[in-house]
Parts: sequence; C-alpha cells; structure tokens
Amino acid sequence: MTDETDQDAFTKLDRFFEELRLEMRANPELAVRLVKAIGAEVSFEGTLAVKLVNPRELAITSDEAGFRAAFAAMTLADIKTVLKAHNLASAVDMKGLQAPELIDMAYRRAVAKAAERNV
Amino acid sequence: MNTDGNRLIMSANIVAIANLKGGVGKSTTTVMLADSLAYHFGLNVLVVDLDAQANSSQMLLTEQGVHAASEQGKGTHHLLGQFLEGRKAMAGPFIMPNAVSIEELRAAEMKSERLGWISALPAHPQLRMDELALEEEWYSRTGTPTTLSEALARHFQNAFSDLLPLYDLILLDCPPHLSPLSRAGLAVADVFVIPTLADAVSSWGTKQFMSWVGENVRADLVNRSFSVITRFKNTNYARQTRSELQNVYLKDIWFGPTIPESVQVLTAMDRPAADSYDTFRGKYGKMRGDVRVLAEEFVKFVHARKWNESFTKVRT
Ligand SMILES: Nc1ncnc2c1ncn2[C@@H]1O[C@H](COP(=O)(O)OP(=O)(O)OP(=O)(O)O)[C@@H](O)[C@H]1O
Ligand SMILES: [Mg+2]
Repeated sequence: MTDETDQDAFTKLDRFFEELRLEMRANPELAVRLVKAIGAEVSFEGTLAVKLVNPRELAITSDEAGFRAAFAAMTLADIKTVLKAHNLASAVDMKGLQAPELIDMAYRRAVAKAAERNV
Repeated sequence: MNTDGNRLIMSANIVAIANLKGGVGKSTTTVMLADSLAYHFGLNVLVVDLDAQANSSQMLLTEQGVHAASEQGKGTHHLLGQFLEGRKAMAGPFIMPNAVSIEELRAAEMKSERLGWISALPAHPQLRMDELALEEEWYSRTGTPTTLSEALARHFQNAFSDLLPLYDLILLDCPPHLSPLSRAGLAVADVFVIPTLADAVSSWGTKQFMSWVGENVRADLVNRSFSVITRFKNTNYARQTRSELQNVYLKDIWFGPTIPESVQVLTAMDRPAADSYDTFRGKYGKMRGDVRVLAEEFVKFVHARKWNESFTKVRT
C-alpha cells in the first residue's frame, strides 16, 4: 500500500464513521442496538424512554430500583403507552390507576412475564 | 350420541380442534372459538387441553396461571392418574372454573348476569411425563397403543358425559400427533374443527388427518368437519392453495372464515397476567370481525347439520 492509498482508506473510513454517527443521531433505535451490541448498558430519558424502554428486558437486566427509575420521569399517559405497547396491561386494567399503581403493576407483570420466558 | 328410532341424533357437544400437522393454529383457533362463542352467543364453554405443550391453557390462563392451576390439583394429567389407578372417571375436580379474559363476560358475572363463560381443564407440561409413564405401564402388561387409546377413550367418555349437562360446548385442543391421549380425544369428539395453513405441507397434513380419522374414528368425518384456513398471507400462492383446498381436495367440508396472519393475534393470545381483562374489542382489535365470523360460521355449521338446539346471538 502506498501513502496515497492509505490516506484514501482513512478518508473513506472517516466518511463511513461520520455517516454512522449521523445516522445514530437521527435514529436512536439503531444507536441503542449498536451500543447494546458492544455490551454497554443503556438507559433512557424523556420521550426516548417511552419509545425504547422494554419493561421485560429491564426486569431481568436491572434491579427493582432501576426498573422504577426508568418510569419515574414519565407522565401518566407515557406509562400507559409503554404498558400497552408491551402488552403488559389492557385499557381495562389501567382504568383509574395512578402512576405509582401503574408502575407497581408494570413491575409485577414484567417480572412474571420475563421469568416465564427466561430459560 | 343417542338414538331416536333408527335415526341417529348426534350432538355437537364435544368438538376436537385437531390436525396431524403442528403449528397450524389449533390452539389459537380453540381460544378464538371459545372467546367468540362465549361473547357473541353467550355459550358456556369448557376448553380441555390435551396437549402437554399447554398452549391453549397458557393463552387462557397465562403460564403462571397454568402453574397455579397445577398447584391447586387441576389439569388433564390428573385424568391419566385416575385412569391408571382404576378410579372412577371424573373430570369436574380438575377444572379451573374461571378461564375468562373478556371484560364483558366478567362484568356480567359480577352482576350475577352470567352470559357466556369459559372454564378450562388445563394441561401442564407434566402431562407428557404422565402419558409416558402410562404407556410404559400399559405396554408392560402386553397392552397395545390401540387398546390403550380405546380404554382411555372410554375413561374420557365417562368423565365428560357428566359434564355435558353443565356446558354448551366442550372444546378439545388436540396435540399434533397420534399419541394414545390424542387418539382418545379424537374418539370422543362429535365434531372436528380442522385448522390448516394454505400451503403444500399443511394440505398434506390435513389430508393425512382426514384419511386416518375417517378410517379409524369416524366414517362420516367429512360431514362432521369444519375447516379454517389460518395465518393467511394474501399472496398469489396462498390464494391458489386455498382455492384448491376449498374447491377440490376438501370440497365436501364446511369451510369457516379464512383468518389472516396478524400481530394482533399474537398479542391477543399473550394475556398480560392472570388478573388481566380486556374488552372483546380491545383483545381482538382489527381481528374482531374475523373472530366473530369464526363463531357465526361454526354455529351455522352446527345448525345446518342439525346437531343441536339453536344458539342465538346475545352480543353483536
Ligand atoms: N392468525 C394468526 N396470525 C399470526 N400468528 C398466528 C395466527 N394464528 C396462529 N398464529 C401463531 O402461529 C403459531 C402456531 O399457532 P398455534 O400454537 O395455535 O398452532 P397449533 O396448531 O396449536 O400448534 P401445535 O401443533 O404446536 O399445537 C403460534 O405462534 C401462533 O401465535
Ligand atoms: Mg397447539
């Protein structure tokens, strides 16, 4: 390899990583998958948390305090959205419940479901 | 089955949901039928799980519920123990009286206005071991698989006949093979619901099922069969295969609706918890029309064959 082609390769790699970095910015789901793939722990806040938190996974990978912390900053509507999206509660189950009760339910059910599925 | 002069009056009380092919939607169809018949027609349905995979039991009760049931001494494996020990055939004590997840059914019950209900005689993974133990024991006494199936069928017949006055329908979720247990289930059934996929290997499995059951269990099987094409992906290939099944190979069989493949079915069968309830609309979402038609068509089939007093709609 000549110096010239070396330069060329580095420039191309830079471009590649830049594209990846930009894509990760724009696409948090991909970022999370990549970060998880290298074995790092990820936690989320705000609207991203609503989109990306998986209660069953969280029930296995973190302790109860960690689980509750992931929901602590969410609004009532967000908590309901997460529970519904992960099939942990129906609208009927959640009717009239406040955030603390919903988080209790989420924890109980996520632990149970994850235990059923975990080998 | 009783006789009126020379004319056979058949009852449609025991329905086997069966196919030799695995994974064609037997358990899912069992649960959809139970929910929809209870919800739309107000029927009192018992779901009997004869499969050690315990899938319909999980769908109805959740996995935790299946274990809880077993801890309370419930489950089909107890029927085998009873048979092995020569005790009187009785299924009542092994039934979970509440396997309802539909809010409207629960709400009516709370007001003592029961209008449609589901109970379950669940399976537990233990069933596999118990069936093996039974086979070991039976064959060591020079019994054969056929004599075992026949003796078990008599035991089931006795056990279920006490239940017939208590339920409108008994649905048997059968395993995908011909073990003595599944043969006994097929032998006591009056009607067969045969789910199948619209593909070549499933057509093959369905054909095998029809010919085996036709020769060994029910000569008039064709007349007693209700087939449902499940997990239908609307492709050219699937449409062709379905058309062949309905118009050529199984042209004498009553076909219920074609059930599309849908994620909604997966979530509907994954009950969040044993104390979780959902409205029929919430549970089945955009599939609710398909699930309603499944029950409507099944009821039409039963009426057309004149097996039963009429079932009428109680909810739309
Ligand atoms: N309409 C549908 N849309 C999407 N998935 C479906 C549908 N019907 C069934 N399935 C899925 O297909 C798989 C097989 O269904 P099911 O367990 O009901 O089949 P089965 O015939 O009872 O299987 P087995 O032979 O193992 O007892 C399951 O994962 C189920 O969730
Ligand atoms: Mg099954």
